Amino acid sequence: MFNLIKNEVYKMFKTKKILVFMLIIFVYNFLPSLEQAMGAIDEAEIIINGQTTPFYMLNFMISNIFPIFIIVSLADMITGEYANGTLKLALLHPVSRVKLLTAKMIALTLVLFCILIFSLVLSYAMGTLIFGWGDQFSYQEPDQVIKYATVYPTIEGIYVTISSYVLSILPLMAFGMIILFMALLFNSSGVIAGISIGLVIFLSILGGVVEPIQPYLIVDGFSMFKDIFVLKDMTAFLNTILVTAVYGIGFFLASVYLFRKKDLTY
Amino acid sequence: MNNVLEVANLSKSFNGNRVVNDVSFQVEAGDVFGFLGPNGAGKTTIIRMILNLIHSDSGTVRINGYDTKKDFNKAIKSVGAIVEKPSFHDYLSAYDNLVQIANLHPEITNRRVKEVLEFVGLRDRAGDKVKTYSLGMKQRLGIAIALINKPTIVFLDEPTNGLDPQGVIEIRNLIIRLAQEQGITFFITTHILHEVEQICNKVAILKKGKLIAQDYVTNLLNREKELIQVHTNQPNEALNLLQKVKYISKMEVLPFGLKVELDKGLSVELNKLLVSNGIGVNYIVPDNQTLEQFFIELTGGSKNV
Ligand SMILES: Nc1ncnc2c1ncn2[C@@H]1O[C@H](COP(=O)(O)OP(=O)(O)O)[C@@H](O)[C@H]1O
Ligand SMILES: [Mg+2]
Repeated sequence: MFNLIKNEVYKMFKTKKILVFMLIIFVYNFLPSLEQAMGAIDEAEIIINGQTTPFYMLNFMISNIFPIFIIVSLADMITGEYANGTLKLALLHPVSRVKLLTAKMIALTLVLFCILIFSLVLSYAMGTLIFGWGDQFSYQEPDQVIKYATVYPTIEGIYVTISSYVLSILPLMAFGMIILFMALLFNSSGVIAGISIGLVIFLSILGGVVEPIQPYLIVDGFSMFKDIFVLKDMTAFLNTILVTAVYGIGFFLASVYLFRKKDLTY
Repeated sequence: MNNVLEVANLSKSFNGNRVVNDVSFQVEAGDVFGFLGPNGAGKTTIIRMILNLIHSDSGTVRINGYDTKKDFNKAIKSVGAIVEKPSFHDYLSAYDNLVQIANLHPEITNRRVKEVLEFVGLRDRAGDKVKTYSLGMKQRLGIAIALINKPTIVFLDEPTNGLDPQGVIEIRNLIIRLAQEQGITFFITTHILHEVEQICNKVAILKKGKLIAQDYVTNLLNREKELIQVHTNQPNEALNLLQKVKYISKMEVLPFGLKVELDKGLSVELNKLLVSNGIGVNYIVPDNQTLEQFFIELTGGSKNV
């Protein structure tokens, strides 16, 4: 199992997609300073500093760049390999289909973890460089005035930030299980990418329009870190964890079932 | 007998279409087993079922004595295979592609990786990305991957398809060498009769998902009967005369005279009989009894298979 995971991680690093995403994240990190330059931050009366930048960046990227990373990776690892005939290579050796899927998902988790750490460190560095370190952690929602900002002392703020990044692996990988299921269903990685990105956008809009179902949508779970650290609502947090876990486990089992039944004809 | 591969009553339908129909055969250790059939006969589908890539509707497969459905890991352990066309991670080097496979077998060492690269003549290009390789090089890398786990049986699906004449010769020689020097058993599918004649000791012929013959290649080539053409201007008289002759099994009137199927070695006898009865024989020529003809007879198909 260890070697299978190693194989998958190695392939992911060799495709250069990771580099592309690191570059995109790097560019994204200029957004706060761009907003600063445009005066948007002052206008909204938001205090942003080095200790809070990673939290703002996570809040922003969790609903677009990270899910897209999952989609693109799985479209490659599953559908792309299937269409290329390389998915079967490992299966012509003593490797069961379940093990192969599991190894791929663990590999993706590890690489996602690396990307998150990269993003975290980068945001701390660039945020501090541009805005200065600041004296405390202070986070505001877009429509929130400064006196209602979520505030933590520096050390606690760092703990909150790191925990938020690590915690985000959970909803992202649960989302990954849905994408895995779809990647096994179709034979074109372009189709997978298109449908999945469409799904994320659709679900985000749906949650806004039909509010009662919002807590049960996978995209709502993306920001579960805010349930504990911003809203400080433990019930909402546990609910979100539960919903996310049901999605993750459910779609993983469905994927295993689908993959075991599938005739590999490429 | 020591069967490396036993396939029993294998069947498969795609969308209600039966593409493999109750196929059974055995491959013994040391065989180079040719699986011959025109395009669409079901050869690739059968290989995929043997290797559990697709699920059979019914039937059993045993490799080295292990049932592939119940004991897959043991069954597959000593198997090498190229299915349909060799596929690789083409953004990786040949070396990396081999390491990916080596990682799946605890006993395969780095030395073995270099050994197989050397064996297929890719050592100098091992560090280059596979996407820069020619088709022939890819085919050789495919064979390196198929050999890396020291298999007892190797499956090759149309191994010379699309190669230039030089590449075809290289691959065929490689198979012969591996079979003879390392005692590897081969299961090779092909639609080329000549390939079977050249490298296989046994052959099974597949037509529309059904096995219609299987035997030693030499048996199929040396049958009890032979076919000759009797060139004469009096075919009808000859036909009358030969009607009662016991060693003749089949006759056919053709523009040049007669085509006759008779027991092996009796064509001189036939000539004498015709001449002594006053029938002018211009000449007698053997109608080449090749596997190709046998194949055409069996399949009732055209020469263009
Ligand atoms: N995945 C599939 N779905 C539907 N039909 C298929 C599939 N794979 C193969 N077939 C059909 O099965 C038959 C046998 O195909 P194949 O095994 O590839 O033949 P061969 O390898 O002898 O050329 C063909 O008629 C082909 O169209
Ligand atoms: Mg084929």
